[in-house]
Amino acid sequence: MFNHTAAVLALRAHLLTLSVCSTGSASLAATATGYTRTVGSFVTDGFVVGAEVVPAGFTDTTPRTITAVTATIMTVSGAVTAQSAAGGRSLSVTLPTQRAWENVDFTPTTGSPYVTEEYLPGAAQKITIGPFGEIEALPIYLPRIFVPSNTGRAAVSQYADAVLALFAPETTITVGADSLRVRGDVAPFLGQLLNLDAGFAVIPITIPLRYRTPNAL
Amino acid sequence: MSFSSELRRVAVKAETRTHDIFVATVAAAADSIVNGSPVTGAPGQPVDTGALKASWQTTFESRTQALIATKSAYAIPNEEGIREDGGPYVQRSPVGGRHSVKQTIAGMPRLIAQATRDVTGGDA
Repeated sequence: MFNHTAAVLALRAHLLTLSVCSTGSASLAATATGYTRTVGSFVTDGFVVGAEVVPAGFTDTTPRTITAVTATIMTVSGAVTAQSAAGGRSLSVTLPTQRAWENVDFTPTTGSPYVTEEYLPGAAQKITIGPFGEIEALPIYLPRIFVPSNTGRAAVSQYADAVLALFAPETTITVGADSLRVRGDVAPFLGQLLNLDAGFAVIPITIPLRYRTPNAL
Repeated sequence: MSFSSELRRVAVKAETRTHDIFVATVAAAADSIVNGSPVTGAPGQPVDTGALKASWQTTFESRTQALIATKSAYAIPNEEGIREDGGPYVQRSPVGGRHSVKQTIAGMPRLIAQATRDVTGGDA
């Protein structure tokens, strides 16, 4: 039997593993306006304006939006608790921490990226013979990462590309005794960048899936 | 009948059938976007005044290429389920829905298979 709720939860769990970029474990300092480093490059690591960075190993680990970035200085939104440089710290861009899951009230915070999801169960068809043959549905998963407007294309594209990489064709996601597979005949694809009046931009992401389960009489 | 003329006859028949399948697939795709389809699962366009539904046009640009398009300003917000002012999308129409273009794209292999069966009578 299809269990589309379990499918959504499995897809969401997979989405939560999204990793866009990271410094890895490094010597980093915090200033009132962001973060600094003396070795390595924030730019080379892939950090861009508009993305949400999550600090680890600092006293203040509040996720913040990147407002400017150079090789050695990252400026973020809001006031950061200053700390001198120390090793074993990291800065990472992952799935935004503000998340609007299906049918749950959510109000975006201006200036902060957020993620939404939709799941379309899709048309089903019995595709193998016999009373207990397999039924195949073609669901579509629609995760979307909204970034602040006026931050250029980099952040919104980077998030979308990272999601596409995470849901590469033939990726298999277990749902109970069945499995969802990311399709390759119609592979995941992106829509055009949309600018919203509300101060956000988004690139729609479409992930076509194949979900098979034995017929249950 | 010579072998070469027989081969030519088969080739012409195959090309005609291929074109017929293409035309049938395009028609089915357009119908899926506009009216919905049990084959793709697309819900079709919502209806208020009917302007959005009527705005979809199909153009055959060549023997192998067709364009299914709309110029309606409501099309993208409806397809994506995103309001430009950022508020939650609420569908007021009792028919149709969102994401019909995506579901039609995702369902293209099934539309092609269906068109092939319709054109060939299962004799493809």
